Amino acid sequence: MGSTKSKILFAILVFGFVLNLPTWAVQARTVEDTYGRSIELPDKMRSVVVLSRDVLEILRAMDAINLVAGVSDTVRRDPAFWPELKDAPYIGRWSEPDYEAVALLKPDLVLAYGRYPGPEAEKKLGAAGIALLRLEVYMLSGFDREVRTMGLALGKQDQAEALLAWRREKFAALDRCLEADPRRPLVYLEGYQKLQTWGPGTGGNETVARGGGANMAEGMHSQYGEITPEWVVTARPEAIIKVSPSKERYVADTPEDLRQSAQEIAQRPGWEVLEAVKSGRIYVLGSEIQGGPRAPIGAAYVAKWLHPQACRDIDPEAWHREYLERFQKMPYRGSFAWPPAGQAQ
Amino acid sequence: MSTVASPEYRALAARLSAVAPEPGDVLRAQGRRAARQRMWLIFFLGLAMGGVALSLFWGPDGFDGPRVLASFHGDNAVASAMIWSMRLPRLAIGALAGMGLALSGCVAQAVLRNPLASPFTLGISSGGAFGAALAMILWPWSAPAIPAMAIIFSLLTSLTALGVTRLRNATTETLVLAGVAVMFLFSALTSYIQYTAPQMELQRIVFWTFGSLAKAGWGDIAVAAAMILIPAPWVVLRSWDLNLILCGDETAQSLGVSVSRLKVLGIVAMSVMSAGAICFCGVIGFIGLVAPHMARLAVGNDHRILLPASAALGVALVILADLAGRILYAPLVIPVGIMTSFVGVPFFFWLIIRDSRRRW
Amino acid sequence: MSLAVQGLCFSRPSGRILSDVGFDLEPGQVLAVAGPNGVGKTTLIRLLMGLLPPCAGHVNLRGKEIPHYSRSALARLVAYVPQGMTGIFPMKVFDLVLLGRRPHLAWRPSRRDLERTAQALFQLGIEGLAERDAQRLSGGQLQKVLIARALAQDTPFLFLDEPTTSLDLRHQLEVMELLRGLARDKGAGVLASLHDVNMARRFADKVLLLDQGRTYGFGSPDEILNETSLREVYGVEVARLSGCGLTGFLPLRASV
Repeated sequence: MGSTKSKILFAILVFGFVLNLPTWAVQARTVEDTYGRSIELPDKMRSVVVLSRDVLEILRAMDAINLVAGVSDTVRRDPAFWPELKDAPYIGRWSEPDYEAVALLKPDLVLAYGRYPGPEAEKKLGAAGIALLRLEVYMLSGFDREVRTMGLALGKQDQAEALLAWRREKFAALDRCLEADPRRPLVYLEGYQKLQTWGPGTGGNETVARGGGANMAEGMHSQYGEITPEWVVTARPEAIIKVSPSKERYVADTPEDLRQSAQEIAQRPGWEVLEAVKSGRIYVLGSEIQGGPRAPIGAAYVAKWLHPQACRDIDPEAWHREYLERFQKMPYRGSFAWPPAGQAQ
Repeated sequence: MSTVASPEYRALAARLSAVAPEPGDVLRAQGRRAARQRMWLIFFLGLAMGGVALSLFWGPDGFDGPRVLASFHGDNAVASAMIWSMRLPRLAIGALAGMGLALSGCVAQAVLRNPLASPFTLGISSGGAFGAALAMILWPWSAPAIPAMAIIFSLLTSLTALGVTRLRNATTETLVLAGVAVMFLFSALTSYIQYTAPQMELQRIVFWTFGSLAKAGWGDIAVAAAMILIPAPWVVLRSWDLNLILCGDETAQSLGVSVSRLKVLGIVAMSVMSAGAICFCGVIGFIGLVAPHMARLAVGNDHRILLPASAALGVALVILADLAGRILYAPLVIPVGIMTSFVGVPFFFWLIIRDSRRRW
Repeated sequence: MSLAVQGLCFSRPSGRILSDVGFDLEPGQVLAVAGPNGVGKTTLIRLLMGLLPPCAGHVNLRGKEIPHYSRSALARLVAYVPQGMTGIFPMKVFDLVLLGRRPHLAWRPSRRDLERTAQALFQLGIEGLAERDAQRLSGGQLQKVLIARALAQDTPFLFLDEPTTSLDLRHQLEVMELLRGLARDKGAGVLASLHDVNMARRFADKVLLLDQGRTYGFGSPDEILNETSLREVYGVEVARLSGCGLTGFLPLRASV
């Protein structure tokens, strides 16, 4: 009430304000990486080094490709898909980069996979004062969270939401067409190696499920493993889906090698007794679309193959064209699936 | 009466203490021992056949006797495809590999006069792995390239080791060292390929080194059979020479063995057999070292019995290891190379403990 | 029918080991090769066996040079007893001695092969060791086993490299008696390198004394082994002793 009281009040306010100044001045942001750890990031993002291929694609989808300061060998192997990065500095292998080269570029952030490179990356980059953010985007379940983290880190939250909204829209379309057909046909999912199947915890497994199929190996003991051809015969899958090991499908103008992959499976000795082989239901999916940012496209192909009637209005190629043109700013080309255009045999 | 019971010997025997055996006792003791060794051989053969039978009747849904029998009658297309195109090739290549590696192991241990020698001592597995890795990088779409390159390089490694020793009239120790050097060379080259390979190829190369019985078709089996079943009789017929070479080069020579010829041909035979074993299956380790040792603990060092016994044990080990790998985490298959280590080691320990007096 | 050696020489990169060695061995004779350590006794026997190539000279066995014999033909003529065995693989004594029958063996050892093996064990007095593991034996026992193997080989000639070195007094006598018996009764030609000059003098019909790789002398034990030769070759002063019809040498001291 008197001037003493108001003076004390004023002093307390000023004192409180002054106490809070340091945090305002050096406000560091934190985001959570794929392991839930808090990673401190600098306020402004001027340049970024990306070791993970899928994350790079998402970066481009968020209009942040101009931030990329250095690239790894995965970009070098696929120059046609990354024209804006063709002169970017090279920092080594995605799994074991040259940390000195990275440090020379003085990026604000390095984006890497969850497990690669190993823990020495935190030490080396930390010593150079560079933040390392690990993200895993190959699984459907964690995808949205990881992309939002990226948006937050790079100041591109709106663009992140746009990508997620597109995916939600596409998955919703799939869910709708699958509602009409409650069957979940049994599928033998073969990975990159012959007789290797992908089980629980893999991107391919989720894609098959999302596309309305039931992966034979869903209850397997480990993520990846060799199986016996006899098991495939006894399980009697309705269709076989092979994930093609060949990368850089963007420049593959014909699907000939994918067709050969399918044919190789059909010609395996003893496999002719499988219903899937007899009815020609062997499908091949390119590795780019079986998981990661383009997972809805892979799931769309699966849905069309397994539910040709219910999902006849789904057009995976159109979705892919839309994704490449709108999010990747690249013209649509390449062959990513056999049979192409999601036709059923 | 035989000459052994003549007065001359009775006199000699009388000179010794009362507990000395009678002349006939010596032959009877030897005869009993030979009979025991034959029993072990029969046991091992039974083990091999039993293993094959058990593995033949085990399918993805467990014991499937009716399916196997139906496939032999030929009226069930699915059963026939499963058994004839999938299960029998697996058993056939596994049996051939087990036999080839075990026989090679015996030859390696005799020719190199070293109980730790195995078919891989001269670098055959490193050469084969390198050849396969090279094929996977250069011709990833070609199925026959892998076994072909594996054979070429595995033979190259052992012949290189052999060649090095011909330069200076070298001993077996030099041969072993040359083999180890060649092995390191090819291991380093393979590591380099693995380091520079893209991820897909790297995975493929690494899996090849674990061993798999699923990749061989009947055509491959025919080639492997030729590579293993042609040198095998030659090796068995050389049993007496192999027995002698264990006693030393000079002793063997003085008893009529052409030592350098035996070593060279023995190494060639061993290389061809083990190359045949691994080029279609990948590296199945441990068999070439363990099967001869286990057989030796039971039947001794007479190669006339040791060779067939080792071969039978090798077959049993590979087939049973593969069976265990199929059962443990079905439908997942644990690679046979990993299983042979798990199956071989405890068996080996049991034999040693059982008769710990008969150590090296 | 005999062994004739002329002008035999052998050299290694380190130097010449043997020069101009000559002697002969008739069937029914025991020839002792004597000389100091390292003079080349083992090398000589290896040369005789054709295990090493000479730099000059001839080794004629029954009129034919050694290199002209095939390995298996030679194995039927000459049995070799090495100084020891670097064996590390377990083998029963019986089987080890049976290996001596290899030149006569087909695939399966015949009754004759088995009996001859047992016979050889009895001749050496080691029949009690038949079912023992060879690598468990003492040095002396192993030496007897190796001799037994040579006996089982049934050859007209026997070359033994220091066959008595690891044996005790009694067994030394037994082995030398056996060798002399083989020569006398079976007409075998026996060549043995010996350390013990008294054994050589007592049991040999001829002695070849080597000195620094050369033939010091070749002849009867009386001629070759005496105080002078022992002083010059071995560098030892000896005293001659006689008793019970035998003559021997007692070493007194090293000569200056």
